[in-house]
Amino acid sequence: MTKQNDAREVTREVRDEIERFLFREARLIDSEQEREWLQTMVDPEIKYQVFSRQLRYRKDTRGSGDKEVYFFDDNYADLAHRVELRETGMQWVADPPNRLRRIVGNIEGFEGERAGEYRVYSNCMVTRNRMVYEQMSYAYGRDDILRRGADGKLRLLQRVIDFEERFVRGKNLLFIL
Amino acid sequence: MVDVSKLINTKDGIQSRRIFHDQDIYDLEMERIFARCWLFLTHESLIPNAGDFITTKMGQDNVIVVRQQNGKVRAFVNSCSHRGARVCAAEAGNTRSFVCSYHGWAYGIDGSLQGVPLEKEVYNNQLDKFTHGLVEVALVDSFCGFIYGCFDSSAPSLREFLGEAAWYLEAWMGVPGGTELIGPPSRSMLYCNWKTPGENFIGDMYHVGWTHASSTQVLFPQSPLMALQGNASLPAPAEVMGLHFTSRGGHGAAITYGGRGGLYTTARENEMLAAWLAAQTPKVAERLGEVRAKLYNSAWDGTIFPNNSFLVGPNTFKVWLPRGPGAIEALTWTWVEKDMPEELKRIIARNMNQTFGTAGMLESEDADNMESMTQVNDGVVTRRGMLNAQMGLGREREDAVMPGIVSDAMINELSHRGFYRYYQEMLMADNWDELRASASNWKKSHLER
Ligand code: FES
Ligand SMILES: [Fe+2]
Repeated sequence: MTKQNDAREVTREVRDEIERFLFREARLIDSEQEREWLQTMVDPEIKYQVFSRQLRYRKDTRGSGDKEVYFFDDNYADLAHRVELRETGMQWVADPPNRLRRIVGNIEGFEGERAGEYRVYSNCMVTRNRMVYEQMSYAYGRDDILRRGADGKLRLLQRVIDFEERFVRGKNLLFIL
Repeated sequence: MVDVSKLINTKDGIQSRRIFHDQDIYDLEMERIFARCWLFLTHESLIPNAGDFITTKMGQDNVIVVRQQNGKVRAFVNSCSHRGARVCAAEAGNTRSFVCSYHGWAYGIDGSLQGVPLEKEVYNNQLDKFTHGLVEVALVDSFCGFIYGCFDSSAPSLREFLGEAAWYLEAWMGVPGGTELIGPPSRSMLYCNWKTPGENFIGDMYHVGWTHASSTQVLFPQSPLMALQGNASLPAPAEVMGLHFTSRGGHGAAITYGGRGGLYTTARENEMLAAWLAAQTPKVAERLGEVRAKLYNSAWDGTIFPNNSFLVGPNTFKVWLPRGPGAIEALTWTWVEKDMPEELKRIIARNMNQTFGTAGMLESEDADNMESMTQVNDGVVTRRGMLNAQMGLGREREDAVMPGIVSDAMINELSHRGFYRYYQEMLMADNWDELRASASNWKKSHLER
């Protein structure tokens, strides 16, 4: 992930707006309101990606094959499928309900490449509690693009997560990151 | 000492619950199964050039798999001959040597010890470098490009180990143009015994309609498998829908006729695959015959004994690496046909990861079952009991064309019984000679009632 160290930071006002966006998003996802999240906060042209890098030596540039595997490579319809699964009432893994709780921090906002777009970095810590005995934690950085729609509201246009835990001890990432 | 004869009863289709729990059974499995069987390492396509390597595990032994200058693939235990530290920390790459991070002993890609820092000064030139190479994995070979290794030099060849299953595997691995894996794998922890996902993949079509009730409904409306949703009824008699096979070496699968297509999320993606299958099927028929051309168009869930599973349709390819009786590392790749258009390969990989990858919607549904069927046996009373794999008992038969033993019904537990039959044999046999001696009468334990 190339950080835009010299990119233009957003105004204080926009920065507040971005922060409110990310906090609201966190609350909706963590309280099983993904449908509301999808409808009000996600741009229909969303690109939502989470990938894992194979560990190679720094000096090794010659190795063959892909270097990443994509856990998520979702568009709007794919995300909608994930949301729909629980709504069927037959997704046994979510019943009894999983409980998610996340902290979003280290938020930075920059003017995006196109007008009305913002490049937003944030860090996330998520704890997932489920099935009486299970507790799992995940930490990752997000590289987002938010876009202002015709209605003046921000929406998530792109999220790319370079997931750092190569061997996922928390079993799976079956939640919105 | 474990009494293995009491753990499995093939004739009646029952297994002791202890096989998912006991440490001494696990230790025996490591010695007698993982140190003696052929185990999946990697695919030719992932290490095409000299010096290309990957690291993985065989059982709990860390190994490096590396392509030699002469094009052959060899594998070595990833541990230094000096004080035992790991000699390669990367998962994959290309190299001329492996240098131990502790004191700097350097090994060639052929495993030989090439360099010892300060050799003259501190060893007085008395260290015999020749006998201090990396320990080599005795046998490495590939089947249709899939590379397996075996620690036991007295083991049969890979082809022989696959036995009757090879005929079936060729129907997707050995098609004209060949297959390849898309790497790198995902890696995740599951808190289950290594056999639980293996027996799920080997032919548990019974769970598809129930465990995956929500995902079949949402993701596969265009698939014939959709009809299984809810386990309420079957669209056709199970024997019309497909079959189970098992083989001498415990490998087996459930095959659902015509089920390979329709498993991707958009109509366009399904049409692309359908067009590919339609174009390829005559070529497959020409090379492998009409029966296997039919299998090529089917959905499969299968396991290659002991810990290597796959699906045809979702095209996942898995290895379940044991980490003690109650935990595994799941490695997941996508397999595709080499000659497929690049776009179709990407579509297949994307769909595979959405269903059976680390954030896979079906994968996570399976995991809870694998884990609970392991963990409940912490209870001393619970694990006194036996497990039931009797579905289809009495319907096994031999076929004129299809090798091994088949049973006409893809919702079945024949392949479970075959897996555990061989599992028991491996645990009981002192060596491969004993296993060879009993090879000719394996069918009896399934067919004689
Ligand atoms: S342990 Fe490898 S060089 Fe000493
Ligand atoms: Fe499943």
